[in-house]
Amino acid sequence: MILSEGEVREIGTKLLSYSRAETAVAEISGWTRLNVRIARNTVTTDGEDEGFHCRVESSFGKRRGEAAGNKADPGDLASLVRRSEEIARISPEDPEFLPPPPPQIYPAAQGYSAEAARLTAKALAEQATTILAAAEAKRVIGAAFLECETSFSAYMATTGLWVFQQATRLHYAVSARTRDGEGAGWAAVAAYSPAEISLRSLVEQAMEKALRSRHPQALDPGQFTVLLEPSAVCDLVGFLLLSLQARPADEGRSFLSRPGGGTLLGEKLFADSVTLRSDPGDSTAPGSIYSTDGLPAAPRSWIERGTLRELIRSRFWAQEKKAPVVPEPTNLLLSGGDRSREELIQGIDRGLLITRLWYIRTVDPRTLLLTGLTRDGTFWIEKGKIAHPVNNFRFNESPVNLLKNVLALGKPEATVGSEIDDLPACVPALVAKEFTFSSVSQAS
Amino acid sequence: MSISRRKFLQSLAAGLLGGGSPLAAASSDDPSSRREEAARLAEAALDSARTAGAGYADLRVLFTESELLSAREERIENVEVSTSSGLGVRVLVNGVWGFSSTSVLDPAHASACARNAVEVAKANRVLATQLVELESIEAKTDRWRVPTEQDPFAIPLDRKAEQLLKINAEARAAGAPFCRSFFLFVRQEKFFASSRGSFLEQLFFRTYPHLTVTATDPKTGRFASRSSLLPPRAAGFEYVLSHDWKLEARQAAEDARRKLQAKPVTAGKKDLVIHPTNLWLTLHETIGHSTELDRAFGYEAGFAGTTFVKPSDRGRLRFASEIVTVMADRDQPGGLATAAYDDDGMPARFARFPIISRGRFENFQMAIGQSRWIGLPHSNACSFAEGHAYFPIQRMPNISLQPSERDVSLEELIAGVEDGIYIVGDGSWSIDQQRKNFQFGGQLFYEIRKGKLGEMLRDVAYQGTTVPFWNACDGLGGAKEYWLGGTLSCGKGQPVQSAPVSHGVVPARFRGIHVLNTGRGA
Repeated sequence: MILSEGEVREIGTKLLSYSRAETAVAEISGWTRLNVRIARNTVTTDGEDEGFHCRVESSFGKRRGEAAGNKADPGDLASLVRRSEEIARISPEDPEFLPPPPPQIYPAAQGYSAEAARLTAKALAEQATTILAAAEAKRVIGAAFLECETSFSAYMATTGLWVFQQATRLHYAVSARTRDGEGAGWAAVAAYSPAEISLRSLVEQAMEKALRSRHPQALDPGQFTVLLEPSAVCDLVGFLLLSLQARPADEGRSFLSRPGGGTLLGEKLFADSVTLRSDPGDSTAPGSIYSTDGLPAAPRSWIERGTLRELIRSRFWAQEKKAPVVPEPTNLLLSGGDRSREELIQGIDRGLLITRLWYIRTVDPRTLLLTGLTRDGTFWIEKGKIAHPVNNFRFNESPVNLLKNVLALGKPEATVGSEIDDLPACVPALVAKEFTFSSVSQAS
Repeated sequence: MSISRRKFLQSLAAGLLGGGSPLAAASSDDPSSRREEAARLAEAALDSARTAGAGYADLRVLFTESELLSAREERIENVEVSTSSGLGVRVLVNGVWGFSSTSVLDPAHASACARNAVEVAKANRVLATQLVELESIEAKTDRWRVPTEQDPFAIPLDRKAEQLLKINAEARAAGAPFCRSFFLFVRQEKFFASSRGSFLEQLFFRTYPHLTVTATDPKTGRFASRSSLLPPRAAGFEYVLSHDWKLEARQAAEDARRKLQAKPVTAGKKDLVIHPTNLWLTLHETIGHSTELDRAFGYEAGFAGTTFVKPSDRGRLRFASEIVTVMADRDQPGGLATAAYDDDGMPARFARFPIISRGRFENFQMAIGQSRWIGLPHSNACSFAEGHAYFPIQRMPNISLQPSERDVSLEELIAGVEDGIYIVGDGSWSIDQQRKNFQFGGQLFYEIRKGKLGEMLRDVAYQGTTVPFWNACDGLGGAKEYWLGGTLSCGKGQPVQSAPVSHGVVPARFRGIHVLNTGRGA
């Protein structure tokens, strides 16, 4: 369900008025979602969903308890407060407990589009007819997922802390397979505004890749120069961004721990061209304006021209280490240049074009070694041109190495990963050397 | 696929953790009043769906409670209880599905939700080039529950918190500087009603106790973790009590410390003996997902993927060696997919079928409306929806590797290996979108030399292709070695849904499998 700021403030004020605890925090959110899914050139599943969520945390001294529910009635909210207090009273003291922060100053929320919020199931279905018409015309088998979410979220505390934001999110993904099963293509984007999305362009990209990826030539695994399209970059760099955690690094159990003690913070770990930021006010992929513990999600450079500048640090750990508090990032922004995908291809003598990565998992946290696969369009580049499709691969590679080995960056664009699909992202295509593929995947 | 830890935690936060009253949970459920409430909602929704033009309609009304207690070293990190409820209505209008859900439980909202679902179906008629046809399912009125000895929500929270702290204290005393543990309990009451006249009531419990310890070597910068080998189960608090946590914590700490000194593996082809605590996940990814009929027909082409198994492979494909038989079921005690009915209202007895019989592929898993694609009369009860806000899709029942008919021990399997590796516990996992190329890690690895276990190894992962891998299986443990693994968070569908599922497994031996060294000099 969607509520206005005034309505949420009223609910929140009432909720906190029930509190008998020394401190209390409430997080309230609500949403409506629409989705439709296509496969085999026909609609398969669809739906509309509306929901509400409230989490209350109460504390007495260093004892705290949490309760959550999905009802907005005053009686239900009062019972959440009571329950969280009951839990707090019988919980052991938490030596790391800190009271909620005082009121904060937040940037203006950017991620809401009235046009997106007005979308209906009928309008979504009408848009999706483009996919079926193109699949018919190109004689391919189309699949797609179109989802639209409108939401609000608020964070408040008995200290007077209050923040509210509205957001919209459109997630469109289009796939195509050739009728002989030999070719597959995919294109996807997630953005807050319809202005950032061209469904027609996604359809064209997916279908062109499906048709071009038929009859792949066999290529043995090994180390290659790669051109990763933005979705693949989002997945790998997203894993890295979310792993930039101070505490495990300080405790000696992270790829950022230095043997003998200390961390790699401040070290030049990556190529000069790499600057990784988060900024809730980004115009293409705005993020939530608040983060962990209701703290503002300030603009931040995590990696600046190849040097590691920030690690995520909780309030408790910051106090322990006498270092700044650094809340979790709420979006992913990798700087790039102005080169088009074609210009990046022209700069590659021999290498691989990767459309999409899949099933990415950590293999070794000591090096942040990840494994996963390519899918939906893998091509051999030779002398600055796409030469022919090749088989898919399994990769075993670390995003740390990837960003160390960057050769060129394209123009950043809104995108979405296969795994990192809920962090607003604006990243470029990326060329890197010596990317390791460990085996062939015969999947097409 | 099993979803990543990040998504698992998100899914817990979003839904599974709808959690329960810690103090008054036992009194919060009045079965008869909820039954009456669900019946009223069903009547309103099904009437409205019919009036609005639905040829078929069903709904699920869910009441979920959960508790998550987590501890880090000597502190309780979090105690969160959660409750959620809602209903989802699915309708079929002129061969097109429509779905709508709400978290407001009253007859007016149930009716509005049903009308909305009809509108969604009508809106999407323009996208329907193939119409859905449903088989008949016998109308039933029934009740069922997961058998439990101790309701986990009736155990006081402070007692549970104390137990977690004791586990961590044991691990730390045994030399692990870092230790995280949690207890997760879920209680879910699910009512299903359909326009064909069914009204079904099922009560599920899920319990997951877990521990991870980490040892570090500050001089070298090395660190290593070892997690408990206990899977989630459909059970009550008795499951937590049945385990020797003192031993588990001490063993985990000792193993983590030994891992710091373990010998790097030499990559190459090796014979593997895989313990059930690792093999359940390999079975899940390679056999469980590849034999889903919706994948074979391209319904997951855009996301979870298709499968190398074709409809024409039924009864023909030599999927595995002759000793391998894999059965589906919904009646295994403790099984996370154990139920009396699936989410289409199909009785669980239809979910008992061979997927692989003596190495040959026999049957796909199916939900309602899919059996006609391959000329069969009805589904085999393989439908599930994560919660009230999710459209039911085809999901796995329990899928299990059958033991050898002989009483073969783990030691006997190891004795048959000249040069190989023994693998325990699940680790990293990844498989391609057609379920061919896979890579699995593990928690503990030991050399096998001339039939005997040797030194501990590190940096091991095994890669393979599904059919050759299962055809390389030449030894299975007997019934005494049978063990039930599983996950709460198998992901599939868009929007992605999490499903609980169990896999019974015995230790197995595989010949000539490609082993990698993943160390990269770390």
